[in-house]
Amino acid sequence: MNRHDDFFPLGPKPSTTGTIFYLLFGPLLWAGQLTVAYGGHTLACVRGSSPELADAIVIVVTALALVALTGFLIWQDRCARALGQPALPARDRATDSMARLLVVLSLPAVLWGGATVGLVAACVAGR
Amino acid sequence: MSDFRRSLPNPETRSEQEVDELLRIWAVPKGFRIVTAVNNTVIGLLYIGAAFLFFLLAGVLALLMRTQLAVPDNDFLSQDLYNQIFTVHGTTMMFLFAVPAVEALGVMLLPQMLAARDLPFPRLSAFAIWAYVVGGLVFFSTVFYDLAPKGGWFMYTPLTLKEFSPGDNADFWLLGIGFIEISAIAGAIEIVVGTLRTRPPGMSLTKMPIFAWSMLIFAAMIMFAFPAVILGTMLLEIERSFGWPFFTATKGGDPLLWQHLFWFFGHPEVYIIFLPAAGLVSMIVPTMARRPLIGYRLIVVALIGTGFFSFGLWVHHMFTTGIPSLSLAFFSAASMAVAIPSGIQVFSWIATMAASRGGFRITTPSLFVIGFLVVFTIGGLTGVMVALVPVDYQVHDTYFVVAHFHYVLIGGMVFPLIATFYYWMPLATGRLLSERVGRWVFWLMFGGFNIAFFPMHITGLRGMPRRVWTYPEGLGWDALNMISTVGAYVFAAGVAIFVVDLIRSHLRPANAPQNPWGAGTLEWLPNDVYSTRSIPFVTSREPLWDDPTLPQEVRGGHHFLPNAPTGGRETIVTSAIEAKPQYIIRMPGPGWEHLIAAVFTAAFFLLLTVKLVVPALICGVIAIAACLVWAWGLDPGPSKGAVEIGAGIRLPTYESGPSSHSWWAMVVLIFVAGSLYVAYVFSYLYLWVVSPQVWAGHGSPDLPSAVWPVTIALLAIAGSATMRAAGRLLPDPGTRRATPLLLIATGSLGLIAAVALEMLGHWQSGLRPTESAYGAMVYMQSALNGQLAFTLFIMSGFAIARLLTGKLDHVRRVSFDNLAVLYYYVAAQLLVGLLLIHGFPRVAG
Repeated sequence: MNRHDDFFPLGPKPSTTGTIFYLLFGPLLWAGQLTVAYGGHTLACVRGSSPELADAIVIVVTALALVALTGFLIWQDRCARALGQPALPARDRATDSMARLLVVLSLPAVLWGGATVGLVAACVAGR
Repeated sequence: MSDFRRSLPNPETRSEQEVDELLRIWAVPKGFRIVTAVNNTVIGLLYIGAAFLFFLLAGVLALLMRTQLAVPDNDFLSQDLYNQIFTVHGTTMMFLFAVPAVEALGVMLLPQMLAARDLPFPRLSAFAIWAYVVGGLVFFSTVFYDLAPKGGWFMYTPLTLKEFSPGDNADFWLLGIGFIEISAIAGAIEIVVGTLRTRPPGMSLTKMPIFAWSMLIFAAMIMFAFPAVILGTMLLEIERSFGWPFFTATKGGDPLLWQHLFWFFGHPEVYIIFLPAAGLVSMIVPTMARRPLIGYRLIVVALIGTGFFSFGLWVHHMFTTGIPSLSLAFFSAASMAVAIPSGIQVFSWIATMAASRGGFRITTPSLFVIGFLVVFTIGGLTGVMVALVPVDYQVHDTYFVVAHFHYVLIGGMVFPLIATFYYWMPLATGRLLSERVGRWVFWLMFGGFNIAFFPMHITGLRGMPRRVWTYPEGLGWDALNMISTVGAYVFAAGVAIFVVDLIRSHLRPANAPQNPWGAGTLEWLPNDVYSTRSIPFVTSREPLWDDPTLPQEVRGGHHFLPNAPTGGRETIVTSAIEAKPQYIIRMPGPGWEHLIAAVFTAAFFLLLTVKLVVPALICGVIAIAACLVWAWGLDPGPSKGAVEIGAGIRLPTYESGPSSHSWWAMVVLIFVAGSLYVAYVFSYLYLWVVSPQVWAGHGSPDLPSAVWPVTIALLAIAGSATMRAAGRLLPDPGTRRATPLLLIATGSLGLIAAVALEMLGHWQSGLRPTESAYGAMVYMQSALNGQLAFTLFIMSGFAIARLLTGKLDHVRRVSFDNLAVLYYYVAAQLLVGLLLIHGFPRVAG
């Protein structure tokens, strides 16, 4: 009779919740940027009547998101371990590469959204 | 070949009696009892059949519309009937065809692709399907009685308010579609837990077939998108029935709130439909190219990216509503960003085709895949055009948009669906469809589609608005409309021939080869009603290509769980990330409960629509009773002990707490409830931004004193502590104890008291829900909390009944764990609500 370890060698186990956050790090940051930027500038325009504040909110949240995304790319191994992933070489390389690619995909989305500040005036009715 | 192949989980010769036992256990009921079946292969076929029927019915409505529009000044249809027809056409295609069709494919194909005996909640799937079939047929039939809604598939306010849409027509949409959305959520729970917990041993997340990935993302998107429109339909129905002015501008409401809620669902809905179709294409292309998909990781990344980005686009449906320009630019950028992941998938498919081994095989499924690539790419490009705000201003609500979304939806979903029929038909019925007829079908559908819809781009650019029932001649639209109508009939001819071929194939013997296309994924393993004889150990993404002996090994019972050790329906539950075996899930067999629950749930909503309140309530009680009877048998307890599945692995046959599948399902349900509540918070803040003059202290009575929220908060916190104590004091198996019973009852009643106090506090302050949007939002919060408290009340009664009958103890405790986790969530929502309702107006001033 075969033993369990032949099929499922013992080793460090990735955290389930951690893996989800690790994999979705980029898109979650993008979602956070969109939410804060959209909600923040709407409030600044409608209740504060302050285009400068609206612009500032979008710029700050975009900059923070870009720093976090870039930080992930530079220190991916640390981020992985902080999110419950086993150390290399036990870590699943496919998960690593998907997480990295999702961050790379989120970078232009964040940058693109934030760049709108430089293109149009805040708080002016679109139509 | 990997090392593990040197040995198999069950290398010894297995008895054929095990197969007989599997056949007996998984047998499909015969005769009229087939309606009690829960096997995924049976209910999956019913589901896809019903969805396709709705496609045909809505298609007939489309032909009626095209006939009306063929020539100017036509009076083939009246204006009123035309309005009903375009509303029912759009609603049916989106809610009764597209989403159910892909959900059906998930129910039908996922267990086979994951080599699971079935998904973890087969009765829930069956319930969702029957509720959808009954409710969908009743909803569609309204078009025959002049009772169909007329407000378009998006039912914009204020047109759909009682003042402008009297009668029950709009209510049929709101209540009918509302509960079909609930059916979709039930399906989504099944798919999320199924893909994460019933994969075969060894199939880690990153080895999962792309279709399973796409279904996982599809179901996750349903969890977060559908609650927004469920809240929207609740608000609109309450305003229509009771006059709470959420959307009435004169009382501080805003019709645009409906658009926000609708499109927060409606735009992701497009991708909810498209992603599974893309997943199907990602399965067909490698088979026809005879090589693994190029860019598997990139495609997964693209699916996840699309799923996320699709939630940041909803405002692009509202570009012309007077939104600040920065918002427009923001959503315009996001709308263009979503083209990147879609492009990644298209290039991966093209690269896989180009790198085919021995040339890309041109079969009927491949033709439909190629047609999909062409049509969907054109739709995607016009999508980028309408994402540009100035272009959208010009073409908004014109036939250009009609052309765009039909290119996306028919290209992105219908073409892959027909490819799916041709590709997976041998799996479902053991029969191949005709390749010769299939080519006729493809060219008629592809040609007819482009003849019908390409001219609409020009018709739209020439200014023809959507939803007009006729038009005067001489505006440059006459010939284009005639061409579109001819194309629609050509397309319909293709569909008709497909249906004939479908029927014809059933007259032939079921003699298709086991793996007719030479595919590499698990659904093509030898299978029967019990799925595969044994559940394979998986080490690659195309196991059938990498291990040609796998079918024989699986058929011989040499992999995991080659028998039925508990004597009932069961499958292996594995860990969510690495797919290591964890325990055996015991699943229910055929029964009437889910069917009764579905029929009476449908009846409850539909009778409510026509204001037959008492019969509706009776049906509601019967539906709840059926659900309770159904749930009574779902917690079998650990009586079967641990069983051997192979490789010396013994697994428990019972699990409770965070590792159990039922706990996961409850957490998914809590995410749904949380999404609905977030949509409510958004609505509250949105209306405050729009109409601060009706808020407390301005146009409405002052807030109740702080004693009220403090008392309510204490009740919620004390109730949670009570529930926690009840969990710790559950009796030992075989013994009884009264304390947990009293604690559960106290906790449940405490929560109901908290909700009642919240309403009473506002009522005594003089606030009324009908007087302003603020009052309506305040009481709406209690309505949301109240329905959850009512659910907990029922669940508490259920747990108490199990305690009294000795079926709930500190080991056999699934029903209590589910109650407790939902209770903590509801208490937390109630506390957040207190901060919002009592704290926010004080801070915001």
